[in-house]
Amino acid sequence: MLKILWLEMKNYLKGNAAVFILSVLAFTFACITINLTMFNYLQADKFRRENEESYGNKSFYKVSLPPSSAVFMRVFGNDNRENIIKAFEQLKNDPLFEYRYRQPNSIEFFDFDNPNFGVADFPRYRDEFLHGYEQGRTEFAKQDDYLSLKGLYADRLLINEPNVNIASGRWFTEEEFYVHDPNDIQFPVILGAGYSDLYEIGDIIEYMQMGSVNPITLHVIGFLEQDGWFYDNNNERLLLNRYMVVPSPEITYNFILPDGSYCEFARFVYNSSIMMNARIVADEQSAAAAMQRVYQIWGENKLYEFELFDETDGAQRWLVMAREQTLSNLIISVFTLLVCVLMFSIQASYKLNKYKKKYGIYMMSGITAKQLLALMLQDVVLMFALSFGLMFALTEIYRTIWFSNPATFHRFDITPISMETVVVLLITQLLLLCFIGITGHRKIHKTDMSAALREHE
Amino acid sequence: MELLKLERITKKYGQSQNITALNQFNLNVREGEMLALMGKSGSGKSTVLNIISGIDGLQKGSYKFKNQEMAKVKGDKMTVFRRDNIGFILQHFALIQDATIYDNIALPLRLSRKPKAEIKERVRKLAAELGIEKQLKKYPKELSGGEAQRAAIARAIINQPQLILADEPTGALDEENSRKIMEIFQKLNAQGNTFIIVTHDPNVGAMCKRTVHIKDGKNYETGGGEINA
Repeated sequence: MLKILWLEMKNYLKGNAAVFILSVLAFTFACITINLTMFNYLQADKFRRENEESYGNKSFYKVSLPPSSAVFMRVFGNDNRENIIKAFEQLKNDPLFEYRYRQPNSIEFFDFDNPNFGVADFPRYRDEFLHGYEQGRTEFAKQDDYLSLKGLYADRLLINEPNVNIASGRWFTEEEFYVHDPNDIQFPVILGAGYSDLYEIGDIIEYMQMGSVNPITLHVIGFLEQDGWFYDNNNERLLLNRYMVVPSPEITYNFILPDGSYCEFARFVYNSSIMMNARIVADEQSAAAAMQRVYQIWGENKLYEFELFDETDGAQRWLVMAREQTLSNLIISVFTLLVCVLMFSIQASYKLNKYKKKYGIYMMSGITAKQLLALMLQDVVLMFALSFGLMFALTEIYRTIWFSNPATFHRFDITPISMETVVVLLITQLLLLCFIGITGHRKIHKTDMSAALREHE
Repeated sequence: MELLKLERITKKYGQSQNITALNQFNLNVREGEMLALMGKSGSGKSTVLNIISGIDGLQKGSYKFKNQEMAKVKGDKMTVFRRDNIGFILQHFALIQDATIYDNIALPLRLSRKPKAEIKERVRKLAAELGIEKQLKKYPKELSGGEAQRAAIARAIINQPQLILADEPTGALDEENSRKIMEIFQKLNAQGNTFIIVTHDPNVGAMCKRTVHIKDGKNYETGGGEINA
């Protein structure tokens, strides 16, 4: 039977190459549009779930500044530092809303260029790297001559997140959020679960750098539960297994030192992140009042350039956009599929009319129903397989951009082919095969094979 | 011994079943017979062959092959029955045009999933017997009418069926080739194959052992008073 299938396929392709290639291209296009539809649908669904989980019934606001370096320099310049600190204190303590200013940031531990932060002080730096990064970037780090781990400067409210829990040890005390002397800075650190086999509570991690101040000592006071996470200010899940969590510090001394210079540590602490990365969270009923209050605080502290924008509203609009995109892609997919179905119907009828005598000869020679079905569908199955492969190839090319050096390329996480897409495509193909099979079967039964067999070639 | 028996077969066509192809038709065929089925165009001759081969079903009556009722055998069972017991030969040869003569003859064996070596041996042997061994690599269009019909005969008998149905087998051939084909039939018949040959040609009828006449789907008595059933 395989020989018969092979001969039939060879003859079909020889006589219908152009139609076959066109069919492959048409169905590839259909596959790509289905993939886009599925991608948008899954994205929209993800947005919806994340929005529900992240925002619940609260309103979230984010802070923005006009995109001007002059404005940025004025707002966060040394001359305005006092206003920033005052505004920060007011925002943090206001009862109308929550001020969340947790900042994921890298924590540097040594630097070969700096004699004070030598690698000799970090005999376990390879281990630390392997624990600090999912893929283990030790060799990469050695080349770059510094040890940089994932850090999170936590505000007081982080521990209230439903998925952030202490597995062992304790959370920070209020006192631990304050630094009284820039020359003696020590922080407690709560480590992500990924570090649990490297450190113990009570261990000391030396020579952490913060900004460009002198080395800071970290005291391990606890570990987070495995797979703890929270939604960061981009509303993306931040998995904490590999993070070192330290308090987002505040200073109790004057940031202008006795010699008249600015304290570098204070400059680091009250940097733009505590304002720009912050989220303001209010109950729906007090959202308008909270917004008004935030503008009032900024006004009082001469921070006129700051603006609030409604993150929840933006997310909703994004969700609506994703749904609209899904719908428009779905329309294109359905249309493309309809064109394909029409093409297949015409093709199936054409094939049966053209080859009815041949099918009659096969029937006369004793072909079974399954064998006949295989004969009728084999070119369609090949066409599906090629379209599937072509779709994968095109999607991979689309997702990959080669830079000037062909050896280095970057892959984007756009329109990947998900398992759901594969399932939908396989079901679509199966349905089309059934459609073609049933159409062909009915047509063959309606055909007068006796007359077809008597036809003169 | 009786090979097949058709009793009071009725077959109608058309959307409202208004065309009667066979009407109370009877036929008995014994093993080793060589029977000519004669009648005018549209008399129902080919319908008889289609019913015997199972390509067409019957609406009324009984069809027994070796005493087994075939009227209700359908689908793949009928296909296997046809493949194992019946060989078909048609007026215009019904060869697959884009396959070689070898592939055409090998078709029933391949559908029966016979081993490659056996297929090769049987095809070559049979082609040699029928004098077309040099044509095996050719395509049907490269053959003469006589050669094409011999290829069709080879395909019909490659599975060693008990019954060979031939629908106007000499209709597309000249006199010389017609005679040669009929000689092959007679030789095969002598070897034990049973033949039912549908024909218009009295010469072909004369070379058969028995003739059955059919008119308007019914058995028809000839002038000699022979009952053709």
